[in-house]
Amino acid sequence: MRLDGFMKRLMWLGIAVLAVGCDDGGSGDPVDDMTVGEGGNGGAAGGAGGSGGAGAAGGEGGGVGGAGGVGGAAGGAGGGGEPVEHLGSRHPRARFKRADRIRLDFARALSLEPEQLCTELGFNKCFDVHGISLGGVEAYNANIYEPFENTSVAAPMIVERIATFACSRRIFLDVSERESSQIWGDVPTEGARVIISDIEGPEAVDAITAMFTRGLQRRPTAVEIAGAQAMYREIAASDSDQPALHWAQGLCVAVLTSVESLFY
Amino acid sequence: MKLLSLTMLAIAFGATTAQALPTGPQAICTVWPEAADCAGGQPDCTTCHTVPPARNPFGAALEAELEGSPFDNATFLDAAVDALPALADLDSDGDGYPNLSELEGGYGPGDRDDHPDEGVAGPCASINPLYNVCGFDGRYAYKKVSLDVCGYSPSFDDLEAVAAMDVPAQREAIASLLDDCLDTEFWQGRDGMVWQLAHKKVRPIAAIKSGSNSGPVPLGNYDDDYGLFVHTQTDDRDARDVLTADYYIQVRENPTRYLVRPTVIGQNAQPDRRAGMITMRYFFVVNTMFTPVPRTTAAQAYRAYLGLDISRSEGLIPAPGEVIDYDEKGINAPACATCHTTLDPLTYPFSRYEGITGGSTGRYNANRMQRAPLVEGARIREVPEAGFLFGEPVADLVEWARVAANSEQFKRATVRDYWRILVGEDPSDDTADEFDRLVVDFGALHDYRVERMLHALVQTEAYGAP
Repeated sequence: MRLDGFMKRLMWLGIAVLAVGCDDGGSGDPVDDMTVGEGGNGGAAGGAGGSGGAGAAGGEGGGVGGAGGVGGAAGGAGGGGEPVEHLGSRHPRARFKRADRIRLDFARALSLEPEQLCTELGFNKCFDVHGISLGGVEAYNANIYEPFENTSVAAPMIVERIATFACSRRIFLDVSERESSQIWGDVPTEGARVIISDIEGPEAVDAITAMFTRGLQRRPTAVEIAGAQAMYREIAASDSDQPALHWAQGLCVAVLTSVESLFY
Repeated sequence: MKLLSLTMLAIAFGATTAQALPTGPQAICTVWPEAADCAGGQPDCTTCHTVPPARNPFGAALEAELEGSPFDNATFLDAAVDALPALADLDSDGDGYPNLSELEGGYGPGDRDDHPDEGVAGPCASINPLYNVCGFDGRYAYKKVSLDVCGYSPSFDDLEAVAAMDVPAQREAIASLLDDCLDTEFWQGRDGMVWQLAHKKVRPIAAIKSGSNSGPVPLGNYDDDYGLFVHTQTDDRDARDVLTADYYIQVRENPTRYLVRPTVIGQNAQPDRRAGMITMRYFFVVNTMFTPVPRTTAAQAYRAYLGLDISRSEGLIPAPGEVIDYDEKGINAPACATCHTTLDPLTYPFSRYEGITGGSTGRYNANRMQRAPLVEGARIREVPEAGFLFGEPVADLVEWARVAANSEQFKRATVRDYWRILVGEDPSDDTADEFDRLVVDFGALHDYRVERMLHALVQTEAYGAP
């Protein structure tokens, strides 16, 4: 499939991909800017060496571009809409959730056991392998008694990798065991290419909503729902061989790796 | 700003006046008890210094006012008390705020960049539809407690329910959630949040662990240390036991359980000589090791449980009288005496507990110093057991621990540990009042129960205002 368009759509959603390349009090986080939801989020920070996300378009007010990650460029300002005056935090101290909380949060969001979330080489648990990079400690063998003040350069890639692995597992379980489906099982699909027959239908909207309520503990805004649906249409128009699968993966990863998901 | 020290001011004078004198903070608090840092503590070294001994503009202004050098402790205190009033209305750092005004507000009179920020504390009248950024936000605090203490976000439905409540009901819901979360593995289990809080205090090394999962050189089982620490910090237990417990805790797994035991294999301190974490076998293994005068042990106890790091010139409260250099380390050299007039008397009570000595490691031995080789110093065997803590005499380590556990410094260090976990940073000028209230209440109202203190902490604006 054409990933450039796919990623662009994720960015347009305003919740895309990764913002962990800043310190715990990093700028661009939703608690600081307090612009989440109403006007669409600003683009998230760029990952290591990457570029920041674009600002969200439209809505009541344009979102604010996210901060650049390590080596990344800041996202641009969102366009369109009437600006909404939101008072920001007077004492912003948003914190990265770090390894243990991300592990439990992802597991609960996707109704998976924490051990099921992700493995490296098929048997090493990702959170064991990458714990320190995600703000964990290793007191007994490495004398790391407290988390590093800043996340590592690798943290964005690690979070994205874990989210991709975990989302794929949830989707696989939902599709293969529809009677016990948690998020995606009711979305109607058809054909050998597995396309979604009605992306604007209630089942698809329910799946989008479920992803947001599970991952972010809030309902998606109209802008975000429309963005998710537009993303599907773009994927379906690409050469993706499984648009439904790729859309579900993309939306799930976008939500779980958003600034709003990873910081609190 | 925290503890200590104009101390280093004296170091700064060292080139001409020789000896460093740790009475500077006392001078400030004597002259200006209304200074913010004098409320339950003392000003720190940045009050007068950039990087000690280099002076900042306020320290330089004080030096210019002082007369009669060289000083000893007493004469420096007197001279500083006489000199400081002349600095009250000066603006030494040129930031537009008089020195005394800055000290009263908790700002540095020698730091041009540290002053009241008129731009921040404006009226809070704008509307944010998602958060109440003007005060305690129940929905925000509920989610935060869940993440901080349970380790995961609450469900969407739970958050919606909390959002629909009035503020008193929200506060009740937060308290109920906290109760549940405090019992989770994430909070009090092995490698949970409280366990991790002990890492810097225990300083584990897997290679020398004994007991389960022992290392190649098994010298001490630090699981016992972690167990005692977590036990004292959880449920309705007196946190002072961390320094005064005469019992041990055995850690059991799946789920983690902490079982009280009068004795544990490998722990050698006699019951009447036990003092919680600072008489655990592993504590002596990694700190005392083979040292006759175990200064590292005392310094670690001071740092880990009283929040005072002597290497940062914190908590320098000299013992009265001359400090004898029993092990001939040159502690009375002017540059060394600054710390050692506090550290050495602090150390003596630890000298009667065995370091790494095989089967008796960590055991109290009244005659330990009699075995010390004279190559350590001609007077090494004269090291007394009695010492000083906070400038007051203590007969032995059990008394040392009792005085420590009942001190203001212990309360402050304990509350600060949890404040850092939950608020995510040290108390700031904006949150100092709430922090200080928690410290006072921890002893007076919460009876040294950590969980009671935590219930109060999560209801503060510092914690619950987004």
